[in-house]
Amino acid sequence: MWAYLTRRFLYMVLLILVTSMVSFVIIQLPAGDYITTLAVRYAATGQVVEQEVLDALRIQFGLDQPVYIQYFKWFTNVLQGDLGWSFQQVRPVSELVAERIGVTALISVCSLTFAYVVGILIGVVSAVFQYSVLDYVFTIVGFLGLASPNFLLALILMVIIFNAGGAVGGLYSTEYLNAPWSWAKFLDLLKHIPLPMIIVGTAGTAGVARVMRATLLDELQKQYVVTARSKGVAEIRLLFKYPIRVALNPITSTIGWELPAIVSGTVITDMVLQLPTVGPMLFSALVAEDMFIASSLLLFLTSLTVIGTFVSDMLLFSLDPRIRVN
Amino acid sequence: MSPLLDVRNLRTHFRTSDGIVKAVDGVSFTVDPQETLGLIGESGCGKSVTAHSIMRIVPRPGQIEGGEIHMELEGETVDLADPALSGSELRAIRGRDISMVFQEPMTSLSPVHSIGNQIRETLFLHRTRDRKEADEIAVDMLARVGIANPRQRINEYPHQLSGGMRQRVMIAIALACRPRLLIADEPTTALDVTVQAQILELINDLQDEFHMAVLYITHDLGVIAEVCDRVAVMYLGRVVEYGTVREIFYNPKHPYTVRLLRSIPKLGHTKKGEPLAAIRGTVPSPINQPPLCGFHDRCEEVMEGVCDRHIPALAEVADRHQVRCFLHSDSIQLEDGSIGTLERAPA
Ligand SMILES: Nc1ncnc2c1ncn2[C@@H]1O[C@H](COP(=O)(O)OP(=O)(O)OP(=O)(O)O)[C@@H](O)[C@H]1O
Ligand code: SF4
Ligand SMILES: [Mg+2]
Repeated sequence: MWAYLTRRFLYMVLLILVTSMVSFVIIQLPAGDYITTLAVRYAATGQVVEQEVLDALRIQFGLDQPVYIQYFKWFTNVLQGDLGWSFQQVRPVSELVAERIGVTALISVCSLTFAYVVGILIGVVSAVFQYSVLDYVFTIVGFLGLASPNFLLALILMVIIFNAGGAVGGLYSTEYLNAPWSWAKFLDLLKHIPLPMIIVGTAGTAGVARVMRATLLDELQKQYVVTARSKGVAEIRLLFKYPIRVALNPITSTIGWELPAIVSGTVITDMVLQLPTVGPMLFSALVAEDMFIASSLLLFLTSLTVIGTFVSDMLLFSLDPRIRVN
Repeated sequence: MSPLLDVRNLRTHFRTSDGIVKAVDGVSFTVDPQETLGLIGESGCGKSVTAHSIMRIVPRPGQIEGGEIHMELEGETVDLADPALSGSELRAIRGRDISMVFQEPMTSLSPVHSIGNQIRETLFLHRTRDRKEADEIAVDMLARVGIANPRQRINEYPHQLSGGMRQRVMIAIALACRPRLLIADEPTTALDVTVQAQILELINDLQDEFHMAVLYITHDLGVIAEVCDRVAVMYLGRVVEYGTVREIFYNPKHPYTVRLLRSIPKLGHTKKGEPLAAIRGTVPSPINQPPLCGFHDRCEEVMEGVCDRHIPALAEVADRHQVRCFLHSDSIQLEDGSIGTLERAPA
């Protein structure tokens, strides 16, 4: 057991290392670097920057060195808690990420919870009342939800909520935007959370509901359900103790994987909703080849994926005795 | 002696999109206290559906369309087929007075609950609310069904046991509340031959010990000969012959039973290369069946204009021996379950 955990942990570290290396290289693949972006931007405004200045900047940022040296330097700094500088904002990356990570985590956790709770409920109802009106309604709505892009849903819901007099866009009302944390600011935040929670969550909901429905339908046919019935177990109790319990296993194992998907997969939605999350930040950093910020965020996402998978495995491990033994 | 279980003209149909499947269509038999009744027939003839009807666990879209299932319970008789019987009344009977062992030991236990949990569940429902007492009974039951180290096994999960062991656990669960009737639906079909014999013997021993009646479902005539007192032969949703094992084996009347018996290879009696007397044709599906003898299209003695026009009724041909065939009686089973008489054209 402990040997297994140690091995898993070592694999995790190795995986994070390799992916961060590969992503560091890939970010630099497009021709040019941040200095080129800078020069182009100045040129657009009619200014010409001397080649010597650009070269000096390159040396200052260490961009003149080979990629592997840049990576090595950056990564040793990361291990000491220094994520490097953002060229665009001329601020430490750690500061920038810290500003957004809390909100990102909050929205992720809320929408994940929303997706799983609602998805599982819908899946159970659809499976237990298979081919009922409710099942058809859920299936149709689910397909619409899967097929329509999230940002569209975001726009539609924004219009609806705005017309109903609700709070729309961003996470805080203007008066709290730069205010220090207070009870009132927290309440204001709570008011703004449901919209992104629902929008980011719904895509996941449809998926979870479909998996739950299919798995549960499968489990409902199993002989052990008939066995329980023949013992005289009441139908509702039976449903929760056996097939739902068994059907939850594969669903649970996907929770970990969903985590990075929700952080990175909602860039456009977050932009539409003007949410101060890391998604839009990653996007603009990639476009501008602001590489330390991009690398740091990708490292963060990789870690989430790997840790998420680990969490999933541990959950499955504790839920399913068949895996526990092997 | 009044019977423990009295099934009368039971009809269980499945209303599917392809038509009505008359899986069980007028089945009658009785099971006396402590006796073993064998229910035999080819695959698909409705044995399991009959068992599920008695337990009232027929899956949708199946439904009991008619008939009665009288069960003797401590002096009073309950009609299990009565649609007015409430869910809680039924659940109190299931697992306590009647329990069932299924064909597939590999899947009939929950994979995510310990064996102890699954035995205790029945006990909690019908026998005791005390966890300690339930554990004691569970360990005792496991020991009785021949499981070594029951105290340790009780915390294990089904996937840690072999098929034969799982079937033993299923039997322990079924017998935990000392039922008056055990329905065993092909409990050995999925097991190795040696294990089959052990399980069969186990059921036999426990039957004596617990004084219970057994409804033994099988398509193995050898098993019937070994463990049953009486036997009901089913064909296409109906009992076609019914009597003591002796009568059926030595004096079979129904053409189907005759051929069924002839189809068993007898050691030393078959010449090399001689084909077994397998029954011609396959069992038709009981879908949208018109009223006729279900066996008429495979029967060598079929009488045109008779067998394909009416359903023969189950009629007494000897003491405790009934047959459903126009070769042996003139009674017809009418749509409403009553009995009529055949008018044969004069020869
Ligand atoms: N859920 C169902 N829907 C429709 N038809 C069904 C259903 N369950 C059983 N049947 C039909 O009922 C008939 C009897 O089935 P049953 O399972 O009782 O056969 P059996 O005698 O137990 O056979 P076996 O020896 O294979 O177990 C079959 O023709 C089958 O097609
Ligand atoms: S009733 Fe007719 S068809 Fe049916 S078994 Fe008897 S002889 Fe054969
Ligand atoms: Mg069967």
